[in-house]
Amino acid sequence: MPARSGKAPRGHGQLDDERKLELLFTDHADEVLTYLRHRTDHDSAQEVLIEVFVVAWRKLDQVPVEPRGWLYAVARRVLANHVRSQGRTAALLERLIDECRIAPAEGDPQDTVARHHLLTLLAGLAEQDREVLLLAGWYELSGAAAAQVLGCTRAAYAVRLHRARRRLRAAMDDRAAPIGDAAPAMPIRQAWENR
Amino acid sequence: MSEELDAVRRCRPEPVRGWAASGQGRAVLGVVLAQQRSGAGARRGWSRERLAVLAGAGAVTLGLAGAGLAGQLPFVPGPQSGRGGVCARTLSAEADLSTLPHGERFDPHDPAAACAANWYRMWGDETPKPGRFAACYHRRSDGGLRGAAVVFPAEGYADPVAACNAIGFLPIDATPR
Repeated sequence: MPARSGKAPRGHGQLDDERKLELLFTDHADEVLTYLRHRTDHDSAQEVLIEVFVVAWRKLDQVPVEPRGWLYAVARRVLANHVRSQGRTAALLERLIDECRIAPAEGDPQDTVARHHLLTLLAGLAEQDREVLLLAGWYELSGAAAAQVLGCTRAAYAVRLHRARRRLRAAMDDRAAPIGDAAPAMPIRQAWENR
Repeated sequence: MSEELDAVRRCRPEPVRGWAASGQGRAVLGVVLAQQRSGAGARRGWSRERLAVLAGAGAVTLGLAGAGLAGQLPFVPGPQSGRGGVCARTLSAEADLSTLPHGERFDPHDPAAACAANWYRMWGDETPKPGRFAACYHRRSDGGLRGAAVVFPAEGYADPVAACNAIGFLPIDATPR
């Protein structure tokens, strides 16, 4: 018979913590993985996600009731220290733009064109602007949660978001979406080639 | 939401859904729990090099909760890739675990086959490949299941049921087709 573990039985407190961690994982791992997959490859995302939830377990008493901002903040920090950290969303946007060009989504072709156009504009922004816009637009975080992710005050976050929106607005005005009669046939490629 | 943020939202890619509950997600949760139980640092066993070799898994320990035997359970590889589940290097509740190399999948009807076929890729040439395997689930102290399906070496045991039971796990019903 193989040797059994020599460790002492775990106490109820640890079992309770394990249950809490399982619930946290079940409820939010998809969201954390989504956040990470927007910034790195799948294997690295899983690796970072493990570290995020190990940290969460060590600091369970610090995890807020609405934990997304806290978890994203940990993920952002871990990712920044990661060996293969991309830490940037530019690569993701390039891929999404490519997908628009190669395999436009089903539905209204003009939507695909507009999506491609916006992705191109986002790719052209500074990383700092892009990050704050995605926190607000893709993850729909509250101001407090987004500020927590960035490690700044709500006021600082609001200023950053305002400036990023202003720069995106200017880019949108400068490069209006090329939607016209020929939109379904050519603009995706044209927009790509004109980048 | 402002017009700019609304435009950003409209180009949002599809989020990940259902991964946490998949076999792969449960395997990752098992790694988290095992790392914390072992008191290891967050990065222990997760070197990039090892991950590259093991396609996403490192050496971890799996805690033991309870013992006994219940009815056999189906192997659930996970809905996405079929890569849910892990292979163990030894028959022990604290065995080193590995997911399958990238591109490899479990056959729910014969989960042991994938671990046997990829044995040397996961554990290296120095670790002799066992002749028999047993697929088991870890059981929580409250009777629930924890983590992913685990395929253990089972040499010396009459059948998978006995092997799983020996370490307090529950056997997986992997009836051949």
